[in-house]
Amino acid sequence: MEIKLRKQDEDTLEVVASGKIDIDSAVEYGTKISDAVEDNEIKNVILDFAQITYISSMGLRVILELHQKMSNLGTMKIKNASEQILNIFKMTGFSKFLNIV
Amino acid sequence: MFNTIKSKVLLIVFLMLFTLSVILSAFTFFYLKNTKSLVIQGASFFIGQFVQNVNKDILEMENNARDLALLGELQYNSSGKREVFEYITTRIFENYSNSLGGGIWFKPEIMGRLYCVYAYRNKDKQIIIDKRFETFEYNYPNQNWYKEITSKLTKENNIAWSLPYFEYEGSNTFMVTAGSGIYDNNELVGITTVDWELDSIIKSIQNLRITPNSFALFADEKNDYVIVSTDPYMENIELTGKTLKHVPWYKENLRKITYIDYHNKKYLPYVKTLDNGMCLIVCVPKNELFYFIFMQVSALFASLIIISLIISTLLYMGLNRNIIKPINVLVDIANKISKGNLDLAIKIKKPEEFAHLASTFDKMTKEITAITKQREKIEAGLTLAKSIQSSSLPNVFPPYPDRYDFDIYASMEPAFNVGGDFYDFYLLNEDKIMFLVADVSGKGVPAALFMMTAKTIVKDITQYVDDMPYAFKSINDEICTNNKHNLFVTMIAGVMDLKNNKLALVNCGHNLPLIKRKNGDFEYIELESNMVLGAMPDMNFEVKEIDFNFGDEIFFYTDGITEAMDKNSNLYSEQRLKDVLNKNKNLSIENICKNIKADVNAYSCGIEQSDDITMLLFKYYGRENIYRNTASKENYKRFNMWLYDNMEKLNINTALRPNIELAFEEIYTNIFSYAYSSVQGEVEISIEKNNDDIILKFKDWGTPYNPLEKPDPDIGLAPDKRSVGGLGVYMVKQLSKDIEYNWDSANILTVKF
Repeated sequence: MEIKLRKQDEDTLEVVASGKIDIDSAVEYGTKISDAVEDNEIKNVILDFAQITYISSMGLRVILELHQKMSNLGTMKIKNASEQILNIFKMTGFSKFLNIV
Repeated sequence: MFNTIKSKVLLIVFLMLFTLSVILSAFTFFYLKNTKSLVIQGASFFIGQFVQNVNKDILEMENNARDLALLGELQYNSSGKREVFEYITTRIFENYSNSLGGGIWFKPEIMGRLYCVYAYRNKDKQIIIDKRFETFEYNYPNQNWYKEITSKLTKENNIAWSLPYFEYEGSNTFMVTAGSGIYDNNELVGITTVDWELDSIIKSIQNLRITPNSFALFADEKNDYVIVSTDPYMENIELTGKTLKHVPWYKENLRKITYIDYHNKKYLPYVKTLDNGMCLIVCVPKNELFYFIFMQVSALFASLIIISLIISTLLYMGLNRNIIKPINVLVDIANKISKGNLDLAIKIKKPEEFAHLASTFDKMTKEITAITKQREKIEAGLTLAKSIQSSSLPNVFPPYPDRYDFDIYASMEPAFNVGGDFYDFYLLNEDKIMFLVADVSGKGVPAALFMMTAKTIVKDITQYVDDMPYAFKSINDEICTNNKHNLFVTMIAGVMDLKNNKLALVNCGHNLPLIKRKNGDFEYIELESNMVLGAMPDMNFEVKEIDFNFGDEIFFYTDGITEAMDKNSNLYSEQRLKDVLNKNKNLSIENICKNIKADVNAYSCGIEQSDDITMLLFKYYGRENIYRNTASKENYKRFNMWLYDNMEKLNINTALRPNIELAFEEIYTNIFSYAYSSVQGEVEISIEKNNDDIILKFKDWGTPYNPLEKPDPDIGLAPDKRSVGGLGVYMVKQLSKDIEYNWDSANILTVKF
């Protein structure tokens, strides 16, 4: 999995990743974002899901953790999620609290 | 105890001193004996001198009396006048100055009256004629001395002595009188007397001290009369004039007695008889007499002991300084050297023997340093060689993380720094893998060098020559060509055709491999052996091809395993290898190999490894629509690749594929996290198409667990109250057409899409 982190402005971090967020990559994905947020005093995170093909329960766990972390600091948005991913979010009730745009 | 130089030298010193003491003691014994008799004689001589002086006086008195008697006799015969007698008497006493006085006493019966001439010495040493004795009041013939002397005199021995008596009339002193006779023809007509004052002699005797507590007795034995005694035990008894009976220690035979016992003391009696018959007895306490000798001997012994101690101390110090200390220095240095410290300067200059030894030590350490340096160089070279050798063998495991259809684990542990064993494996193409284990004859550096050559030749040829028999013929010829030292290689090699499930095996004089079929045990496989490689050129090699299906394993090894020895020289044996393999057969190939190695090490515990230990385990997983491998996070990728390949093969709708992948991931994760939470185990997955349905089946042999029994998670909860547990299975349920759990000695989960 390839993960690109980009600062949009002083407080906002955009994450562009490609591939699967599965048992192999989920922890790496979460840790990288979490560290970047802490190191740069980020308040808002935008997760670009355009290239994400797949997310498993391991991936959902990481998204939940990130969501909880960012609720305290600011906001977290998910954009460009595929049908497949949206379906997963819907099925698992994640779409109810995630800020999906 | 007497094994050290120190104790031995001390023993010698002790013996020397002991001998010296014995000699000195013997000398002292004789010296003491001689000295004792000398001391006895010396005391005797001293007393003798004293007595001789007294005797001189006695002789003088006697001569005085005789001379006076002779002159008196002459005058008597020429009927001399009184004036003449007075003159003679005065002159005689003027000449003999030691007497107190004396005179001429005629017998009254001859002269018809008292007729005497007496003279004495006054305080001014003048001779005075005393006429008081002619009176009847004194009446000299009645005096004891007169009677005594008159009765004792004979003409032949014309001298006699009176008993000592106290003279009250004249000098008021204690005295004794010597007398001589005046004869007319043979008739005694008168006597002459010389008075000898005893006071000065008594005083001398009282002062006579041979030793501080010696005492003396001056007595007239013949007349049984004590003149003076200085016996301190009788101090308060006036003895003078008493008989010898009053002297407690006196015996008649005193002259023959060596010692007398008196008041718990031993005394030596010295008895000296004077010329007038009196005797002087001096008693000397034995201990005092020999006191000086004892003092001398004691001093001698004391100095002997002190000298011995000084000699011992000096010897000990010398010994310490010259022998023990240098030895300790050398021991200390030897200890340091043995601990690897070679930069030591040894400073011993004396004694020469040790200086020589120290310089030898120095030379030795220098040589050791040189040799060590040389050895370090060689060792560094060997370490480098070992690293080159081990890096020449593929040593990253798993070697093909992107291949799910097979896996290989191998290890080589050389007995010395570099070994003659080797293993190798490499893909000949996408569908063929070659793997081998070989053992070069000999050990150490030559074997290692030969091994590198052999390994290179084998790889070079097999990579380009497809035909196995021909490839091995070429390999053998090539090795023979360069083999000047007649080394050879035994080898077992396999080429796995991953597409057709065939394994081609070549055995060149090597140990037989073990094969494990899926669900079976490891068994030795019979293989015809070819010639060892490098022994003889132009040989043909036979290849045996066997079916090798998914789940099968093959184990190659060298005799370093089966010929490992325990402390009783028992071989590890092929049977034990087989047993240990089967005991570990359900583990991953890496763990199987590591457990074999551990078992060999435990078997030959404490014994140096005598041969290289090499092994290789190849496991085939295949590319079928059924796949079985260890359930682990590491293997997830392999399963995933297998799934991808098989979905491709089955031409599954791409829209469905993420759902199948998701189902696989969630269930696979569940299996290795829960079914195999404590032990490692395998999971078998199959995928098949049944009409329009895709059936994904999971089978594991872990803890029985039905994931479907778990209640669905509440997906309506707020994010801060949610957990993701159970979400995976819930999603699988949602995404699949049907899901079913069965238990048939294994957890079986079937998912239908």
